[in-house]
Amino acid sequence: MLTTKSLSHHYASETLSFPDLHIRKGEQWLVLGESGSGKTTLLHILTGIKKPSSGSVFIGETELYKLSNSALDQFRGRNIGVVFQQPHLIKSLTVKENLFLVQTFSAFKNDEQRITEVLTDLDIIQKMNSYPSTLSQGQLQRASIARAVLNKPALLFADEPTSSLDNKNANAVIDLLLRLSDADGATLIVSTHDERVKEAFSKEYIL
Amino acid sequence: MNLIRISWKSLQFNRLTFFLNVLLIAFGTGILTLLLLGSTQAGEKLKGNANGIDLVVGAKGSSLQLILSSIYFIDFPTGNISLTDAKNLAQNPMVKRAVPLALGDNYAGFRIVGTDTSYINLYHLKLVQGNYWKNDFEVVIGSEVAKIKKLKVGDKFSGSHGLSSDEDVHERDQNTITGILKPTGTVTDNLVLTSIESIWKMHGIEDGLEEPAHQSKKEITSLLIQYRSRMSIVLFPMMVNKSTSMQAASPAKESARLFSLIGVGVDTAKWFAIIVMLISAISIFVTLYNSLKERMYDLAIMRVMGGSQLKVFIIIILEGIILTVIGSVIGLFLGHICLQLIGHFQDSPQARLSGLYFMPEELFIVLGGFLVGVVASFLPAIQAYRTDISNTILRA
Repeated sequence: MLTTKSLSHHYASETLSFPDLHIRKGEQWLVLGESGSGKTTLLHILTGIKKPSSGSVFIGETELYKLSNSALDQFRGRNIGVVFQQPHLIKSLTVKENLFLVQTFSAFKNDEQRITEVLTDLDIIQKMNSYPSTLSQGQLQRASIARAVLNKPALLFADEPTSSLDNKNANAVIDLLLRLSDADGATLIVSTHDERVKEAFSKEYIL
Repeated sequence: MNLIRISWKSLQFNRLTFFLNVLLIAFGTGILTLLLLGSTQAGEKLKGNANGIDLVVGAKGSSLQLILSSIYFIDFPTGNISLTDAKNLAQNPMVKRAVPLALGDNYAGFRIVGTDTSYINLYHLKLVQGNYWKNDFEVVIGSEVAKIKKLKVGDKFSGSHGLSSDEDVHERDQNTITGILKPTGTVTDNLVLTSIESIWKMHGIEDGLEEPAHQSKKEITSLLIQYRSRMSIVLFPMMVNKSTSMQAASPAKESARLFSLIGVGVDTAKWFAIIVMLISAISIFVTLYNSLKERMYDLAIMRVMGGSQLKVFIIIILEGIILTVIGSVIGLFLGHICLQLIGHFQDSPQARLSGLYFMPEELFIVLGGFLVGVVASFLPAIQAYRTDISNTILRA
């Protein structure tokens, strides 16, 4: 499902090299590492938002960085969901409109039924027509997860999703990601330095 | 959810900034619209009213004043000329048609003009109701006079002495309306036409005295002259100015002079409007550029969601276009409304400007607004296009 070959990325002061990955469909992986170990760089490379200095990334038969810019954007929109550390939603749009945006950009039809289904599942349906500024931090985070899973992506990535949460909320978020990944058969890759979430994953990759 | 809606919602998020930018654009395009419509209408009125008139002969004084008073019925006449002199001039072989005018009275601001059938022929006037005057104190009124004063054939009214006031009313002699003219879009729509004899009688100059002694006392205000040949353009005015006590003024020359005088003001206002439009463009540029700093993460997230560089570019360009097109359309409406108000409060109905006047060129104003929007948003859109998703998300 996800394969990498000889990935490395050069920064001005250092070069990060990553071992080859072979992750199968539906697997749930944890990428662990200290700050500065290259977790976020690897995640950005795997999600197609940062071109590596060398090496290649295959998702299925598709070699990500051989795609044109616009094809890569569309591929990302249709096949990859990402949850970032900050649950950033577009402030000028309601929660529902933020989710419509995902469907619009990935060239799917706007499907309000799917949005209702996901928001109900994540227990924020009552905030569907609210603007992000009126949501609590927890609600924002669930809305950002809804955005990532809306298109039923084959790959679901989460970058430090629990770093700013207490134990209870950290567990809730990880449970939610695991459940959604199971439900849609999506491959889940969570990058974190948070040791609290280790137990939830059977496969881990340490940088 | 389409790109226009995304741009629209983004603009709506900062309503005050949106409102101020739209206001600036509306102000600029409003002035441009006002100038375009106003100067075009003024030009058309100047040209249309003077059509077929080669020369105006009247009392000595300001030649522009003579033209304004005898063709456009705006200014006061320079004085009167002797009927005998006018008749002699009209018989000159170089003259094809000479139309006598006698001014001095008004009805509710509409000038009462003493003339003969040659004036009817000069402007190709037609009646929509009734007949032309036959007897003294019978008048034919222009379409606007009938409309505004709600007059019909058979109605009577008293004129007032002077050209724009209704204080010194000629109570003794009432005018009877015998006909109403078809609208022509010229100054004649706002005139009350009657015989020269009626004007004389209204002012106590008795008719029926055909002896030369009395003839010499009779006066008219001016003569509108049409040449028999274009060859007379140089010779005839020179002859009038040098060998008579009258003055000859060329409508073409004076209209051009008047328009060049007005043109200075129009040009100044035009440049003012263009500067306002430039300020609007800079304001939109600054607004979009500054908002980009706050929205970089939004744009990066859009890219992560599958939004292409082109779509992000278009979203920003659309924001500029929406702002300027809305501003331009509001500006067009404002221009028309202001012109209608100006026309409403104008003293002289003969030169009244109308806001209900539309020109295809107005589309260029909207197109101009569209281009200002594209230009103002181009650099911010390029910056959005070049957003490095990874670095932007890391910096957030």
